[in-house]
Amino acid sequence: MQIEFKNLYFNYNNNSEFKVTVLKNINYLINKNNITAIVGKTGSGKSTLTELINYFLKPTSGQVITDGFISENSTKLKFKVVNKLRKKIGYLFQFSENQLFEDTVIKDVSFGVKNFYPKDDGYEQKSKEALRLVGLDESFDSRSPFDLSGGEKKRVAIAGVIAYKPDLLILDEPTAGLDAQGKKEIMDLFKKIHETGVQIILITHDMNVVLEYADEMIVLDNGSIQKYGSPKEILKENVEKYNLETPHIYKTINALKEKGIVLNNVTDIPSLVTELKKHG
Amino acid sequence: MDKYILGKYVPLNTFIHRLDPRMKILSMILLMVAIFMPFPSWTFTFVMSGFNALIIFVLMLISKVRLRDIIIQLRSIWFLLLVLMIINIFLPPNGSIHIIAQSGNFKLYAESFMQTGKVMLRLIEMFGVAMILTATTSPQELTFGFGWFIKPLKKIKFPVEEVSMTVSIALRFIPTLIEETNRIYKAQSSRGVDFKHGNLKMKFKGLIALIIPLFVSAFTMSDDLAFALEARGYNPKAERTSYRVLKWSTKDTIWIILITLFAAGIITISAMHLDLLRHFFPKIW
Ligand SMILES: Nc1ncnc2c1ncn2[C@@H]1O[C@H](COP(=O)(O)OP(=O)(O)OP(=O)(O)O)[C@@H](O)[C@H]1O
Ligand SMILES: [Mg+2]
Repeated sequence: MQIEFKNLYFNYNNNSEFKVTVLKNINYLINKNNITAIVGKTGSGKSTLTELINYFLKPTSGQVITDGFISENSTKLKFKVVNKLRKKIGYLFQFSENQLFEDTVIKDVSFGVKNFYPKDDGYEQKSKEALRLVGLDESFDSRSPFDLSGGEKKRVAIAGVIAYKPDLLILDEPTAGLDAQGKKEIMDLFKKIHETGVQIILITHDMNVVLEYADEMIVLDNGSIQKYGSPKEILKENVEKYNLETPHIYKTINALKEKGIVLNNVTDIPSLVTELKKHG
Repeated sequence: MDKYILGKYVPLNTFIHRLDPRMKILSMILLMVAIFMPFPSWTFTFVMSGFNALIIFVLMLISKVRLRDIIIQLRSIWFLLLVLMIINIFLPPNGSIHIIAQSGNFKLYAESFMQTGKVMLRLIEMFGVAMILTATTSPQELTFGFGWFIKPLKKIKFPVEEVSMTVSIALRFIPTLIEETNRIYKAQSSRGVDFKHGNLKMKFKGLIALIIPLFVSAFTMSDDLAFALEARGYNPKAERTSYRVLKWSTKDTIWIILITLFAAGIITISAMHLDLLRHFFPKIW
């Protein structure tokens, strides 16, 4: 799904004295079928940018074009049109574990499927597939979502947005609040989903995740895009001025460099090991 | 967010913002009384109402409350005004004499419309006064102010401190809950809920999808807060000293005198049961 920002400006409370300018002249074309990471310090406008994509917010000026739908300040949003778009987008919110409400896990996961495809009676099957995919077995189906742990709730929430098989997944801090193991499992799961042809936009503060999983990245700061391109290139440079942390692997390389060991072509642990071996 | 404007604190620093909350609460009561005083003739009633409106409008200008925000509030009660108008048309107010149309037995009186107009004006003025208070006084100040007024109730064992604490915590959480509502609203919309259109069943389902997570969040928050309070040794029975002390200054005294004079003037004129306009300008009326 092609997403394009054209001269995009966005202010909150535009017509009042509490106007907050969040985005300034954003121009970008998000590549189809990539895992695109949006990073930036807290309050830099990441969530605002993604909420513009699926019509929760309207541009103050400029355009957002999602899959051919043009959103402008003057656009009147017809629910039917908006819903046609939202059906193709699975949006996992920050704190998505708080959106559960049904009395059983399976009902909660079916919620989106039933809303978007009211005539489809395969919703239970689809929901079950989604639950198995996120790693929750049958015993969870009839449990109450409120009795689950935080990480399990998060998985139910994820199942709830992938069950209706969207073409694009927008993930706002999907790994927040998960332990290291859970983080890896979830990210591997998203990678697996991505391999089935689902495009992903990922908001995260974790540069290790960006380096390992993303194909392209956008660095937001001061309301505009400061850098974009391949994570391997961008994260190699000094990103600390944008309040981002250098990934562990690059920190290691830099530390080795100070000791006189210069390594090239290292992007992950296996390649680090091979390069180190070459050095003897 | 326009819906939440009534009662929303606007953190500016105008002259009225800096006044003592007790003085503002008292002034509000006085102004409300002034707004609802009756006067003998229609013309006089509207002149006095206009006079009140002018004063309130000036206060709104000083405190930067916008007329538009009040009109937005009226949108939510236009239906009520319509019903009132219909009642007034079919049951004209006492002493109606000006017939503007007649069909058979049914007479349409000008007074029906004047009565509705009067009520509407008063409502606008009332909204105006209430909004000046809430826009210029933070919830904390408001609770402090009200707490001060109910302090004497302590003598009859009314739990003043506890009530004040509860109210101020509740007020503190309103913005948080609004934010939470917004977030859940968006999350459920992204799963295809249509809150505005759709049939009744759909709307009901949407409401449930909104309310249950909201309640769960609210309970979690209150639970956490209760633990946090206990962990820091909160004892509801203990005597409390305030971090913020209410300070009554000379300008508060001057204002309360001005407002009292104004309200007293209006009340006196009303109590005289005299149509002063006819009294002073007999030639015109
Ligand atoms: N409803 C709102 N009204 C006014 N200002 C807002 C609103 N929502 C967000 N903001 C402001 O807009 C800016 C960008 O917010 P946004 O949520 O997009 O940041 P973010 O990059 O997602 O941050 P985080 O990493 O903390 O999630 C922040 O400064 C925030 O205070
Ligand atoms: Mg965010």
